[in-house]
Amino acid sequence: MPLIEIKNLHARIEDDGKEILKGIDLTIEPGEVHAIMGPNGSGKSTLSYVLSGRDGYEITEGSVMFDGVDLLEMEPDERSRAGLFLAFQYPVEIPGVTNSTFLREAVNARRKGQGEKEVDALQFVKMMREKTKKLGMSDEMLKRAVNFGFSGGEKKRNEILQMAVLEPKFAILDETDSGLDIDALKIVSDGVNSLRDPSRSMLVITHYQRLLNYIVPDKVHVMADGKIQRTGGKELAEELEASGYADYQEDAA
Amino acid sequence: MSDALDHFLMGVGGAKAQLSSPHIDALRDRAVAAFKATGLPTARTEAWKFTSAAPLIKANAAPVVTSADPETLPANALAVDCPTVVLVDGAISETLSTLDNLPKGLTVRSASAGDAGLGDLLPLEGFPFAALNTASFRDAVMIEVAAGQTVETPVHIVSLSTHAKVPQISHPRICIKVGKGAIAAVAESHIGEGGVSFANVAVEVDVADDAVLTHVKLQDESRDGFHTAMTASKVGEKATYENVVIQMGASLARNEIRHTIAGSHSESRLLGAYLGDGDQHLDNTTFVDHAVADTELDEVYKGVLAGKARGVFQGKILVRPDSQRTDGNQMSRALLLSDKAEANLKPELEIYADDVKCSHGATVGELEEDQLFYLQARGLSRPAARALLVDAFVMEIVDRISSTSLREAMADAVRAHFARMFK
Repeated sequence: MPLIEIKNLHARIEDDGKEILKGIDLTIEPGEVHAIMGPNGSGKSTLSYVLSGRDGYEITEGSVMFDGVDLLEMEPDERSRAGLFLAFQYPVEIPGVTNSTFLREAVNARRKGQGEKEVDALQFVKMMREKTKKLGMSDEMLKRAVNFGFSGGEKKRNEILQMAVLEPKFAILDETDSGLDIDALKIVSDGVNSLRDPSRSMLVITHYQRLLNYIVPDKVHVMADGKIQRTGGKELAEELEASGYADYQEDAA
Repeated sequence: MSDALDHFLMGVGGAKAQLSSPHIDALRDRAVAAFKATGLPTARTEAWKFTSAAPLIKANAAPVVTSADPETLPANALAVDCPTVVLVDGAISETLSTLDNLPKGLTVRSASAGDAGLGDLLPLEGFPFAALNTASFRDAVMIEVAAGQTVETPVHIVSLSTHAKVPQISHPRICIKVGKGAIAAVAESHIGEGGVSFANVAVEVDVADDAVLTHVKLQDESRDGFHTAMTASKVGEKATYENVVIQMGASLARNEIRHTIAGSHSESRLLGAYLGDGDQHLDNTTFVDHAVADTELDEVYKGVLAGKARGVFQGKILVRPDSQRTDGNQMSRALLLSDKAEANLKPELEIYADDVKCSHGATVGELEEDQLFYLQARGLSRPAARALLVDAFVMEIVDRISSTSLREAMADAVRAHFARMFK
């Protein structure tokens, strides 16, 4: 059974009725890493928001099955507890809430949802020490307010830390490479690669091929004008790097 | 109107019979005159623009003359392990107070055992409820910290309004004097047993030169009750005064602070939070008088308003012509959790000196949708996400309480309140 199966997904912006997704078909098997590449405005980020359940979009057609259940019927927090994870393009700052409190709430929300016992403060500290060590991060960032005053690189690393802690079945990485220098990109990619697992699927959304040198996908999809225009292996990314998106954009216009 | 005035003054005779001295008698006479001259706030009274005193007057509350001590206190006072003086409807309860092991340098007594300084700071003319308290208080808690003493353990005043079968009013009175160079912490908890009880509180705080006082107040009266309070404080040279007020109880409450910065190189912090739901009305009115040069003020008030609750913050800062190099910052923020909640924020700066740094800001808003979504995307239910954000918003005030034991007790009180509010 595929982990995620998107069929003919159409979505528009609630406010102005503008259609952004115009019939997406995408199937990802457990353990696979897929990349979606595409020019700005192609609908890549909208797809990530629609999959994670953000308000403001209306699904007009199509379906999304996640691990055998209808994803679109679930609230954003239910999707998360069911094992979906979105690494945000722009992680949100939350002054006054420490990273540590935030992560513990998240872990316990998931545990409670799965009928497991909540972790106590001591277990949590131990767990965090292991996770940060494995990702080569300092646990100092746990004491700081969520993303507050973080550099671009720190914010993205924090997303990967959250992913490591929440151990999702399916992770969407939305432009995780944006705003990163080459060192930060490498750290973040290493983190993502360390989380690759036969039971975990990923959807890597990016504008540039650069990221895919580090996170090597099983499949690459080219998205433009709200549709997947072409699908291929990792060599497709290299081809795009050379030729750009011009062909697809003409098509879109 | 004069009927209402006379009704409010019904308790004066009984109060005189319970507590009298030449000093206090003269004070009461002045207060009665001031109360009559000032009259009760009306719809046209500027200082009461956003808070109607009508419910306070309509309650037609009778003065408490005597009340029996309850066997136990309601559990919602601050939980602090320290010397505690309990006021029951404004009278000191010998049996409920625990004042056996007072730390060195700390004196706590009834005004009947010495009333020096009582009434020195509290304004009467123009402040009807402060005048009414002064005319009608049955006793006063006198707290003194001797010069040069560091008293690490806080002293706690628990002011209880007993259950009111018919509407009743009491006048808790507190007078705090922190001697030169002394360091101390004082907490007030205002709680009630239920019914329409009206606690009309007055507090005087004198922080002498070089002294440091942390002064914390929890207002968690019963939900049918009324609470009006005036705190008149004064801080001396190189002294620090920290006042933190958390209001969450009563149907209508108004906490007024009049703070005089009387000494140079002093620091004043006025911090507060008001947490309203249902149809609560919570008013915070402050006035800070920068009377000398080279002083600092940091004032932050935050409101969380759910249901049909209404919050009011009025903060006036006066910088007199000679008060150069004043550094004054005021910020007030209110968070509305429902469409029917309302906040009225009124910052007011009156600056006559030219070399000052003063800022103020006031914002009313809702929880941020992108923060809520971020938390939901990490598995927190929407109510849990809201609770976490509101907690963080208010804890920014609570976390600033300098005394560890008072900070922890206040955090517990706020979280217990939120647990009820967000359940």
